Amino acid sequence: MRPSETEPDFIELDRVSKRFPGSQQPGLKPTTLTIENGKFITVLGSSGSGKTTLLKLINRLHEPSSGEIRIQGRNIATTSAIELRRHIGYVIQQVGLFPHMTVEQNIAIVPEILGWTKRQIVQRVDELLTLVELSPHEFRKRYPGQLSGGQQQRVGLARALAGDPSILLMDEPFGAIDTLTRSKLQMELLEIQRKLKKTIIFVTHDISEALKLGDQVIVMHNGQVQQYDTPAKLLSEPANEFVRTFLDADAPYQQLEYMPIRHLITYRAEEVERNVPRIQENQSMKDALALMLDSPYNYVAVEDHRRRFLGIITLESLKAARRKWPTVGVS
Amino acid sequence: MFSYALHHHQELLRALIEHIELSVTALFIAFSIALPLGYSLSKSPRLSNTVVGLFSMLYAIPSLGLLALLVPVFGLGNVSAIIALVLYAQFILVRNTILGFRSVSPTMVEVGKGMGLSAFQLFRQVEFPLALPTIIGGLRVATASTIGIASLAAWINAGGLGAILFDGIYQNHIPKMLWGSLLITALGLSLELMLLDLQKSAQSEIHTTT
Repeated sequence: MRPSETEPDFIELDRVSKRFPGSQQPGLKPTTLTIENGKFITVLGSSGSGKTTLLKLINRLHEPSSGEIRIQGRNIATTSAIELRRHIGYVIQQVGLFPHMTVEQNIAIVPEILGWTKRQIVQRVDELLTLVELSPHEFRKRYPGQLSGGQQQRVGLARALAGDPSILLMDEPFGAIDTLTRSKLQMELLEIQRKLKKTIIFVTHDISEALKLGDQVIVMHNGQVQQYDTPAKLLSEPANEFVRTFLDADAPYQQLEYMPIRHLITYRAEEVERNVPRIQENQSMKDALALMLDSPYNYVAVEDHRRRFLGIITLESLKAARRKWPTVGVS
Repeated sequence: MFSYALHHHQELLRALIEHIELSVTALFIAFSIALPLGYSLSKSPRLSNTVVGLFSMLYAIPSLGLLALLVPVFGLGNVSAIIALVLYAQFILVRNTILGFRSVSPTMVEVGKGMGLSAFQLFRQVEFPLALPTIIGGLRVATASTIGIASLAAWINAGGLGAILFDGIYQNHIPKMLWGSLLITALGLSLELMLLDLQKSAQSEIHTTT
């Protein structure tokens, strides 16, 4: 399953459709698309849009009614489904940690069936727990029932990464997690993806989540792909009326949420006054604007994640960005 | 009463061992059938209703009647008795096995499949441990009922503590009656407690999620 020199580096859906027995509406209408390796793809749609169907076709929890799916050039229908799944990480909303196994045992399942040695597995568990920011010492012997929702999903992610898959499928993984923990997990997931260069296909019904995380977003409705594009393009050039209304692409305030501020920072060495509101460099223009609206200042101070002062963002720069929209911002 | 036990302790011991042998053999066979049967039935609700319905009808046949029916075919003795006990135990065992596997959340099964577990690995690592407390619960009830019904096996010359008890009733021999029923009760209770313990430890293995 690892990409080699000669094989194409992507997942291809070739006229893939799925019809469920006893259902009038097809789960997925014939779909052709390509997902490049190492990309973070979000699949956005309401329930019944076919987004989960699309996901489950890739690890063969569903079999297509027609068409074929190729991973690294190989038709997955010709490989063993079980073998295929061992090389694709899978994370779901309900997490699904096995309650009778410790955190360590949960993570070790795939490495064990892949035949890794005890030593490799112990090392891998440590490595993964550290990656998802849980102290191995404290957490490896715990049971899922002794973890918070956010911690469970961290372990779920670690488990999915255990066999070092090149592809990670995530089905609304943060759907049941409170807003605060959720945005923290989102940031960490982006960090992890940057570090590990996995291909991530991430299903969500949360518009801001899809636009924030995805290098590219697949917008789905009624079993059909409506648009497959970068977040900026989705907002500036919605392919049809559905995408336009669904994303609320006309609302400037809404759009600001998906515009990172890092391009607008005026870097400077000397600190600003203590009362100036602070913002982190990975936050959005919407956050910056909200802070300005509530303070007497027309600028905010930007800090990095270690709370070191970087520079400021002014109201003027926000307005300028808005005028140049959508060329500024989302990368 | 104690003098009877003192003089006849060998006879009592033999009857007790016979009773245990009979019950344990029957339970072992019954469980070996019920586990795979219950597991496969748990996957098809409609068929499972039919089969459990059939077993419940069988369960409703009076024990002596069933024994009497089996004797012409399998003769007097152990074989008929064991067959009867196995048949009775099926209802409780199969029903609880089905319930046990159905109680395993579909999420667990899907996640297990999604990570590439084979059908056997899924069974051994996920489904079976999660269904185990309910399955042992069934085994516990089936054990109690098997030990009770095994007393009747004495009627078809299969021995056991029932033989002592019925002798006592025939001969109006109070110590025999008492020792017979006492030992049956003690046997039933001790196995019950053992299995209850097992069920609890299987349950605590699961560490129910908050």
